[in-house]
Amino acid sequence: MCYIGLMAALFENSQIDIDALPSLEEVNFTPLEKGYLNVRLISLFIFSAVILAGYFGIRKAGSDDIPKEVLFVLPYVLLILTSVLFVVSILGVKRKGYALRNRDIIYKKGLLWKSKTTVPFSRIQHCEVKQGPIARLFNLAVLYIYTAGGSSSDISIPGLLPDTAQTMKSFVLQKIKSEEEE
Amino acid sequence: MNHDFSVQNRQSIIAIVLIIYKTVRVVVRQVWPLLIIVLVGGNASSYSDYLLPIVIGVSLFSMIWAVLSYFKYYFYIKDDELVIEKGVLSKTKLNIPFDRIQSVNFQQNIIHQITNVKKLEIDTAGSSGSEFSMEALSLEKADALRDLILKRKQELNKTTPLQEHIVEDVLDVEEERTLILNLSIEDLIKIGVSQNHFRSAGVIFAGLFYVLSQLSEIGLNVDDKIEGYIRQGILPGIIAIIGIIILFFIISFLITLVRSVLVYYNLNLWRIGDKYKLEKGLLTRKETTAVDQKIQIMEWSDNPLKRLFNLFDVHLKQASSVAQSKSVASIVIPGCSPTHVETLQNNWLSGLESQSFDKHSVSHHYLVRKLFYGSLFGALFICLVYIFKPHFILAPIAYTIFILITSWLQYKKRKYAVTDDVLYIGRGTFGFHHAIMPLFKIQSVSLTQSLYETRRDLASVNVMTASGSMLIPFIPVQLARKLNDYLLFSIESSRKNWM
Repeated sequence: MCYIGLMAALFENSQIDIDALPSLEEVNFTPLEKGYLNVRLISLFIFSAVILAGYFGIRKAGSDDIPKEVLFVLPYVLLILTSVLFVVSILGVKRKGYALRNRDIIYKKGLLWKSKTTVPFSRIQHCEVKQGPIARLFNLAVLYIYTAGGSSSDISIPGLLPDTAQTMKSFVLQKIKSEEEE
Repeated sequence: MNHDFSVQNRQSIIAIVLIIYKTVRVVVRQVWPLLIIVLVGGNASSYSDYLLPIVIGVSLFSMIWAVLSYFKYYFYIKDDELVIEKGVLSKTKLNIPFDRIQSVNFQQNIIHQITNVKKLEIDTAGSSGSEFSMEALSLEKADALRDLILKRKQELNKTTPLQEHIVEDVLDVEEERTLILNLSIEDLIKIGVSQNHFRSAGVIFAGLFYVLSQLSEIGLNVDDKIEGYIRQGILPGIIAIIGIIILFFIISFLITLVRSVLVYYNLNLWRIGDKYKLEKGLLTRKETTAVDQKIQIMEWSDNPLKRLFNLFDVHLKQASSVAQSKSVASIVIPGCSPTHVETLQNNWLSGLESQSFDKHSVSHHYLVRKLFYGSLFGALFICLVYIFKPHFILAPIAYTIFILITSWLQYKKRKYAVTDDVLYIGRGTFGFHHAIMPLFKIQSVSLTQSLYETRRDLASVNVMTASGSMLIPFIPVQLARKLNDYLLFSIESSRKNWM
């Protein structure tokens, strides 16, 4: 398939040079702090502990209603699912990253399902820095960016040093302000 | 007539009747299964001793309550704020600043229409308690209040330098009022006939189910009775079932027809300045307005029946102040001809490059993927059918054909187009569904790639707006990147306010 031809057909009315636009590909993403991996691991361990407790709960409470086959298969299914979850999360942490540009903020993530979400500063409604209980142990914070587009369009960048998060927040707020004044 | 809103105003005296009506409706809705049991009989006699005093008590209470709340309800305007004071036992005072008011809408049910009053609904920006309403205002008073609010709001806007250019546009064409669409009885019947009857049948079925479960909850076991009827049935089972289904569809067809006529009766769509105004309904007459600025996406769709009549349903999707009320924020205009669609589009997107664009298809891998997921689900389905009903081979075959056809149709109808100013997305299965929006109203852009897409050098672009997202799936990855960059450039270089 001829991409150039498609490109030309798609933008036949444009006066601007598409190739000269700032490109997402040239962006250098900053990776998250190393400690974030620990945060992920601890939350995963808690999650697995809950699942385990649930499983033993089912075993103890009258297992007469549940067929034997299900009880036999269940631990293996759970084991496979949680290990997949662990592998995907651990590898996924490395894929996460953010970048600030002159007019927008970008957050990328995903191992199997990659995504790069860009929010222009002029569309940000408000932003805030939060610290969860586990993240606090490792001195990390999350930066939340809210738009009018609802949860699918909002981004949250985890694994930031609290100072970095605050600096980014004030940078974004100042950018929003200067865009409004223009 | 001149109205002075700076002093304390009361609603129309009709409000008392309406408050009573509302209370009674709430009560009836809560206790109707009980009422049915009492009325239908059975062991009713034991209840009926208590029933009369209870009914009298409730009605007396709601009457006194209505009168009190009427006399305790005032509204007035002070310092560019609409102030509402109300409350019988605990007093509340609400201040609604004009610049936070998004729209002022009217509604008239049958009582309003007979007594010449309107219900006023005020929609505000802000997440907490975003809607206020006044039960009844006389027609002139309601109009006067709305005009006053909107006029003052515009003056306030004008003093904000940011939105100067927009306000000027508004003032230039303020009084221009054109009727875009009016539905005749013939149109209404066409709309009623061409509704999605499968969906309404489903809704009715669910409703029936709800009624049955409510009744069985209070001890009237309908299931047994129905089973009994079926056992006694003269006809063999299968004919009876087919008969019931046909009857069911006829009934649901008639209900949709009547409903469409009632809801869309004498629908008028006006273009006033930069607003659309929609009036519709027989028993409850509704009046809603949508300002161009607030509309984020325009959609128009049909189904095979509607295509026969050459009719479209148009949705004007507005940015909603509260995330939950997305459906409320969308204005639905049924029975639009292609010319109407074009007029609506041109009005809304005036001055933007939206006239002609080539629609592009997505990669054929989109179809492959759809078929893959379809057959994955199908394999599971076939296994289950085989385990439980080995003779019922027809179902898997029918399912396979259904998946083949729908996937193919969905692939063929997935289209997208980008011009200098607008984004267009087409989709659909049996009908067509079109959506268009100006690029400067986009909130954020996301470039996504599943494992499958990565392997085939494809990517998807997800465009998020203040009223839902639009997806361009499965296009070559280079193109997707360029598109992503281009869309961001358009947002960031635009000086227009998205709302």
